[in-house]
Amino acid sequence: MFAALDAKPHRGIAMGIEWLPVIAGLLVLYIPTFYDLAATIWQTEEHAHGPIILAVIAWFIWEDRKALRIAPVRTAPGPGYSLLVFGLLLYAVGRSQGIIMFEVGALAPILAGVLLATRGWQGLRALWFPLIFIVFLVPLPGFFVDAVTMPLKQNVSEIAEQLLYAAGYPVARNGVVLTIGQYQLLVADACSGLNSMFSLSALGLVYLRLMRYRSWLHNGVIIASILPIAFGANIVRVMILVLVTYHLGDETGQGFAHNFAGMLLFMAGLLMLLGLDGVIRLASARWRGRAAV
Amino acid sequence: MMALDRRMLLIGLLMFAGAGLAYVMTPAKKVTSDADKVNLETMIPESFGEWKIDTSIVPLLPSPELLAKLEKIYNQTLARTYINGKGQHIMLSIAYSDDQNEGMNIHRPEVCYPAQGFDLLKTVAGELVTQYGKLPVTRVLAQQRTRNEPITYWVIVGDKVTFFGLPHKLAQLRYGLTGKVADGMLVRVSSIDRDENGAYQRQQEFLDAMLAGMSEKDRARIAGRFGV
Repeated sequence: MFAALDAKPHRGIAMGIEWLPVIAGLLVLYIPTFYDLAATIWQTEEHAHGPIILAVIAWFIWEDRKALRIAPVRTAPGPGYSLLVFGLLLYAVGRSQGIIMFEVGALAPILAGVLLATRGWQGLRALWFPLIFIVFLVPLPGFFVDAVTMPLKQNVSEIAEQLLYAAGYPVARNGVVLTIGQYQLLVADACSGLNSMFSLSALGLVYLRLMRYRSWLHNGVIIASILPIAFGANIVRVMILVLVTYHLGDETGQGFAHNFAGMLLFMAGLLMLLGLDGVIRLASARWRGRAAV
Repeated sequence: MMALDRRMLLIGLLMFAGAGLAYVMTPAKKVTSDADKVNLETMIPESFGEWKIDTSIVPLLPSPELLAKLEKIYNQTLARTYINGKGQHIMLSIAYSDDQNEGMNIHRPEVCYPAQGFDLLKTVAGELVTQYGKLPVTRVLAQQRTRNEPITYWVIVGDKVTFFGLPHKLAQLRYGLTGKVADGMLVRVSSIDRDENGAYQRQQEFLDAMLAGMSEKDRARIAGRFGV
């Protein structure tokens, strides 16, 4: 009895120590990467979310650390080492050639490989969420941003113009330039809403993970509605900015209101997502109640 | 019980090897040696064909703060305006770096013009026909209020003309994976002109005359190897 009590903490420490080589390896690989990112693109507005995403990943791994401690029932060395080596090669090419997408993205196969080789499929399953979340750590590739930004801007300005026109405002559009009254407004790249789509997707997934709903339908509906909600919120944001400029002048529209509208609409998008979740919960509770009667 | 698991050690070693591989693969050798350093000022003749420099107009450059930031990346930039006998202007702007880098994107007209309030009305891939061969170029139409500015540009990595985006990245990779750092250049001409097609035609004639006025070595530098 005494011996058993004594053995427990000792074993816990030993289990921690056995991970040391892996932790050291990860640090050698990724300290330079994240140091470089922090000095470059994480300082830009489009990638300012980077450190937060990294913290979220670390936090979820810490949350599920139990899976790392329990001894594996059966490991999967074949797929594990293959994935690990693949990830390391991807990293080497990415890091040496300055392809950030490869360099950062490689973290997913590397971690998955380590888990498979040491803790088997069971370990991988326990930590699937932080691994998936690495997707949000990878900066969107330039060609993707280029390909998506223009059509988004086009759609946003078109819909905003039609809604404002229907509301009786003297508005006209030429490409992505909106003219209202004496003002001419350019729907810039930042107004495409790509950033808010990205952040709202990340936050939505974290929320779902925290709620741990069992119903696939429930999770699916919420995931499917993230992008439309972000898109809609962005249109409202652009319209608000147009109206602020029209009624209060150019300076107000470009200054404080510009940033404020961005924040506000992001919050609104989040609230809409939570509201939708509330509705689904209510509906499913009622449906279940009726089924019980 | 053994504190250090063999599997964990192996994984750790593999990771160190990965980091080492990345370090070894990082290109360090620059393509250009000190002997064949580019000097844009002397490379581009001050007059050629019917064109000569007009110092009264300066082409659009990235904002001063941006230029300051770029000085680390960019070894040289050249901005000139030329005028012909009919009083027509063409603006020439060249950015050269002996270390090709993502920073080149800042000089990209599709980025540089909108950043200063221009709208991009058109971006098309095209071909510049010169007496030496065809050059793949991008034609952009930028507009700010009444200023209508047709632009022709191309970008070079090492000794090849390429397009921005994926081809640019791949061209860099071709050098990088052999351990070399490619140099790069962006050559841009533009004119303030309502007549879009006429402007592109004149830019073509201008560039043809410019290339003809250069030495063969400099021409290869500025336009890459033709027909490759």
